[in-house]
Amino acid sequence: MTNQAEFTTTTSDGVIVVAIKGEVDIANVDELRLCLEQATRERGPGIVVDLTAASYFDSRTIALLADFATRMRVHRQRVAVVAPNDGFAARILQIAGLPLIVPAYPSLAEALGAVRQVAGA
Amino acid sequence: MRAAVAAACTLVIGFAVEDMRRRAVSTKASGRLEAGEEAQRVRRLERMKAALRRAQERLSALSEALPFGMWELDGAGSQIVHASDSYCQLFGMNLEEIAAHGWRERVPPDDAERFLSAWNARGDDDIFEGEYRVHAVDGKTYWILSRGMRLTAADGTTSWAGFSLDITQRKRSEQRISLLSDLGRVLSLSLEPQPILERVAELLVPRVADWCAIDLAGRDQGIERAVLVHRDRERMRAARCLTNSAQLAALLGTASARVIASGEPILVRSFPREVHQSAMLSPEQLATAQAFRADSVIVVPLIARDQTLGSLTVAVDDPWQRYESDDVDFMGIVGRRVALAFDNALLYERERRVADMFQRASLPASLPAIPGIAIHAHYVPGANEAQVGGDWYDAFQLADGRIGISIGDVAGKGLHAASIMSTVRLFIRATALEGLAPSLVLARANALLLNDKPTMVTALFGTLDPEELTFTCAVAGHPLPVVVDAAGEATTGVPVAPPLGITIDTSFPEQTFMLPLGSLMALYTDGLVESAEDARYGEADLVKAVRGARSAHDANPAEGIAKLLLGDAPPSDDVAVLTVQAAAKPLLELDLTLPAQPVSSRLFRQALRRFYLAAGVTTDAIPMLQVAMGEAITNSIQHAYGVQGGVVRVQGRVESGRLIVEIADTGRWRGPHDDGGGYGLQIVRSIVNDVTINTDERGTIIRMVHPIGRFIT
Repeated sequence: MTNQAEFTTTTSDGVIVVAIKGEVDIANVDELRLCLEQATRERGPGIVVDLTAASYFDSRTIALLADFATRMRVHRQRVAVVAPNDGFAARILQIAGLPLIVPAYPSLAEALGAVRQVAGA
Repeated sequence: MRAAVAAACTLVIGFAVEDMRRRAVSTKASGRLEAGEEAQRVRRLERMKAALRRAQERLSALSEALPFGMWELDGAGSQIVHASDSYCQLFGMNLEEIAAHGWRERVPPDDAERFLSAWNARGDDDIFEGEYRVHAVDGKTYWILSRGMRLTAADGTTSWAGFSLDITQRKRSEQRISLLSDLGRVLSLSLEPQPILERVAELLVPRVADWCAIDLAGRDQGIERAVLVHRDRERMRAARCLTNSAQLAALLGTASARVIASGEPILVRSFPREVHQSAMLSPEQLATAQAFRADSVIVVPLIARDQTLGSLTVAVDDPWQRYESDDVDFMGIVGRRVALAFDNALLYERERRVADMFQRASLPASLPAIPGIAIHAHYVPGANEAQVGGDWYDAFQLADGRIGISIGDVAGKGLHAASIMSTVRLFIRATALEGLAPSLVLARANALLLNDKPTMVTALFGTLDPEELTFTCAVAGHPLPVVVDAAGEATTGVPVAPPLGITIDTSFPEQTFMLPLGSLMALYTDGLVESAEDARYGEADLVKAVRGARSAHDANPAEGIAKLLLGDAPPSDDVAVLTVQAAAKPLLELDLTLPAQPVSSRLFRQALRRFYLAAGVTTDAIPMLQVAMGEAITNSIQHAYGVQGGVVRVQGRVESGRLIVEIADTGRWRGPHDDGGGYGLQIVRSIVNDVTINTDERGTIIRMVHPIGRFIT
């Protein structure tokens, strides 16, 4: 029992949105992994991971997202993250170079649009 | 008694008749009366003589029928002129011998003094009454009530006549009733097993025994001597040294063992004196035997609830005090009462011990340790004779870095209170861990109590913010915290909401207390102050104690406060005290060691955050810095995780404008990229300038140095 973060899964026009609120570290990164794997059971066009309210995450979360996006690609599903400009998430993703693997968007609407567009194409 | 009065009346009549006879004889001698009248007179006289004889016979028969019959003294009251045979038989002497020396020999000196001085002080009273004992020739001791009347003859001469009654039984009954009444009082004085036995022995000696021993049946058919009391304090001291010796047990324990085994009392009417001087005994045994000489001994079993708990031994070493079989019956009654009280005390003690253990087990095993904040607690169980109450305290880490603190008191005592306490404490903890605000936590606990078993509970729950140094709490009928700051200024408040478990129609507003650097906050249950006669003085004393503990720098201020207010005596009610101490200086040096477990990761970051703020790192730089430190800490935790007693230590300090953080573990460094897919070290190096990793057989230290104010944001 850590309850240091909340993972909320919703659906927007078939696209699954997993929102992270709080801190993700070694103590609860596996919770996030389970949550993402749960989300892939819905065969939608893709998944958006919203990091807007994430106050802390480190390389484990970044590695998890990278690995997750790679595997989803096999299923022809897109993964995008939401990280507002100049926010903590955007900066840390930048440093780690994640956007090269997983596209990051400053807002949920943009991320959703990107996932739907690719899926529709 | 009616017989005695009748005897006295007969006696008076007897003397009256005697008086008439004397007068008749003197009349006859004058010779002035005529023959016819004379013959008539003689016949009348004969009739009177016959009546007198009958009266005398009746008197004599009555006198002999009475327990100790009649006596007569001369007018001065110094010479016995008559005593009935039964009185003489008591002394085994004739009247002359009793008068000459026997009375003094057979009446114990104390009794003789008391009786005779009362007799000499009779003055002009016409009735005298006194009591004394006689060590009779049959070897027994009798209590005698002597009651006499002054008789004045027509010629003015006086004499004393009276009767003596055997009141031995009445005396014994009086003594026994008085002893039983005192026993009842003594047994009600204590609820502790051992003091009950000690008090009983102190009561029986010297009233019915010269010494008294109580033995208890131990495990494996062993017998333990619980109490030994001797009338003679010198012998008592001698006995203390010998109480545990095998010899004593051998000498005194055999009778007890028999009684405990059989459940039947033993009476030894008289011991042969030789027993105490036997050449078979060692010098030690002899000393014991002499110290605990006995002429007569009774050992009765202590039986309660069909179980023989032990034995009670009473002994006298005065041949005149020897026990009789009715003494055994009486001691049997004493034994049963003592046994029941003792057994009740054992049961009570057992329940109290269980409750005490339960309560201690219910309190948290450890309190959160966070740099710059020291949390201490102290629990004092109530006085021995009282049951354990339902006081609790609790402190635990919350998910967001704050500390949850609760304290409370369940109304009532004993296991019921202790179990409610445990439930409420854990319920508050569970609810608080869900992230609920203090007011809601108490509202839920209130609903729980009203829904389950309505019990009144006073409670306080609050959250301590180590960064802001504030304590925000909701209170349900519980005393508010007392905060004393570095200048000695005290802050407290009054509860605005009722206790839990009374009404659902209430809310528990929150109040916030500032805990400035160097301050001490005390939370407590009311047992701490209720000994004061006036609550206001209690509060003043409390503030004084918190102030004292703040400046004393005790290792445990909670204990210090309890000691200052309660002294060394156990309080009547149980008491819980919890203190929160804010470090005197901001956290410019960090040194925190935690178990190498995933949950420690966040605790380290929380401590580091406070350290950054104290060191002057701007808040916008903190998230990135936390990621750099977090990477290193997570690696250390992973390395030392699973290592027996594995720990991670984080130290931080500021040196010439640079922030230095060292993270050490007891495991082997595997490179900061294991689970981070290669992102870890890249991230750390992007954020912190100078990163060095040193690994040896003891573990790994990662050292990070960066100029303050130059962090990326």
